[in-house]
Amino acid sequence: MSSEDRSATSAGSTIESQAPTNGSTNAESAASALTLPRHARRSTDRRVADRRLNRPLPASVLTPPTPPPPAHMDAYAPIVGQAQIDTLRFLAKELKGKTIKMVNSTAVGGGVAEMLNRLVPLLSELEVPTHWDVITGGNDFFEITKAFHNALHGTPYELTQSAKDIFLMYTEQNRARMKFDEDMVVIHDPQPAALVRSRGNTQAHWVWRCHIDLSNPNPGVWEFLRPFVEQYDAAIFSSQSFARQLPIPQYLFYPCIDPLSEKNKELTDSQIQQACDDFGIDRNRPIVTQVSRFDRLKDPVGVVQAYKLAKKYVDCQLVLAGGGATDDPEGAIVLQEVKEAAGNDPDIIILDLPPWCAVQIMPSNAHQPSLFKSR
Amino acid sequence: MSESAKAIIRKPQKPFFFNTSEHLLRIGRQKAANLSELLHAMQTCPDDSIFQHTFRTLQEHHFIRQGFSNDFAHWSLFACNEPALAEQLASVDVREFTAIEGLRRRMVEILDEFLHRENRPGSRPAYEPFYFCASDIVVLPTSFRAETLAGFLDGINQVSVHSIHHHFIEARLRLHRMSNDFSQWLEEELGLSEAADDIERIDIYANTLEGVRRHIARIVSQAMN
Repeated sequence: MSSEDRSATSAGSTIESQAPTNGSTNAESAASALTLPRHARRSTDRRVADRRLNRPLPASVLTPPTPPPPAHMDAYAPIVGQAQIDTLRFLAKELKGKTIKMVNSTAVGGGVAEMLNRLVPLLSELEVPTHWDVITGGNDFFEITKAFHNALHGTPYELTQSAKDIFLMYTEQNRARMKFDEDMVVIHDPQPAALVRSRGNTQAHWVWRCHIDLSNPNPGVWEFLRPFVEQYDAAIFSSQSFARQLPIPQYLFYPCIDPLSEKNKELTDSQIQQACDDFGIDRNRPIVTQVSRFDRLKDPVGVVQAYKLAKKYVDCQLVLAGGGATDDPEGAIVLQEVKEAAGNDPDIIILDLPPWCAVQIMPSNAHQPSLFKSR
Repeated sequence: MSESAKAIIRKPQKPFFFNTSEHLLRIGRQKAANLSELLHAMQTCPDDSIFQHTFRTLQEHHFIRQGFSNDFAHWSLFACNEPALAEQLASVDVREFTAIEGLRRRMVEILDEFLHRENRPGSRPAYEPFYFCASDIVVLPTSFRAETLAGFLDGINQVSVHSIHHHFIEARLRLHRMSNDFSQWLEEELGLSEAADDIERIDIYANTLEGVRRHIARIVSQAMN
């Protein structure tokens, strides 16, 4: 693996043991890049300039907590009802002993990694052994896949032969490294989509799980990816409008949240107060917030602009709480754009948090509705 | 001896097996960008798409009483801004049909008549397309099985709302008669025809599925007492 390569992980049911192990982890780089202003506690405090001073994050945030054990299936019964749990167990009986491989492009950060962290142990508990692999690639690969990602959302992009070659070169590297001995292979999103080239050697059913919006894709990128997608047995989308005309069956899985994950739990008042103290957030004034990766698709600069419109009439604060993902090399650039858009406004609080800050961010996914909890 | 008292004594020949169903939602190939395309697609789509956008809509949105009861009505209002059409489509009671074909014919008639009578340009683009979907349905047993009226009430109180939908609403298409599994069992096995009729008359459009469950439980409790 070259020095540029990002870490690969191969997980069984004990998924929490497989955080990236490369020299400079995403979390470490996020932490080292992190700066936190020490804020005035009250809006009447005139020392507002202090809020923009760069200070290190509190140790409580920089130190990754011991991850809680994954929730067991029965823990969900009070939320979804025992009948639903019984249904899942019954359905799983049909699959008992069948194995599943999940493949995506990052183990940490982003919604897919978060989902797989919970889904893999639950499937294994249902006696459907599920393994999770993460593809590897250099910065050049992830820059291209990020450009693909944006282009599939409709951003103008000129697909070059060089980009195709790099994409396929890393695909071949990953194919050479990975085995597909399972009964079902689920490939998440476009980055590893071309791994389906390996299906000829296997008896597995291959499913492409697309988590992104393909309703208006860049034609060049989509036409490049389409032949790979058509080799799958089925595709799964998050909305009817994201589906394409394909010769394979397409299914709809609605986005969902895990009510038992750390970031979806109710916070105590003291936890809320601690987080606000750590980040200098004034609980006596309204808070506008966006919790998401620093990604152009989340339009954080647009949020800053919207906040500035509201600020003319409401003495509010803006909290942009986010982080990065190992498969998203654009995050640092977007973060810089956000800082420039924020200017010197002491009431704009930008938090580039490590991925384990579940209590501080509530939550970090665009599909999820909650915000910073305040009085 | 009253009907209910007899029922407590009478032992059913056959137990009631509470089943439920799960659905895997398929995205179909057809979509409509305007009312004319909707009409064409409604005429040609598979039965399971009609089922999906009528019977299944009730199940997916079992927790609300407001809004329209089928996807065609919902889309007519929110994507096409046609409230009169939406109301007509929403007024179709799926429980009047024991086969999808009849339900399809009724929906098509309403839309066709609307386009002709109102002289509406069917080609006016909708705000967003209508995507035809369908479900792969898996029927599966639950752990509840009733051999007495008390056991039946216990099952009613404990099964999921999907089981209620399966036995109370979808059952028509399976039985091909204007009834439901609960009423059929109460009448045929226990002779509780009055309770069976009362259950059949529960308004599914004025209730959530939880509300339907409560009504059934109340009727069964009354029959026991």
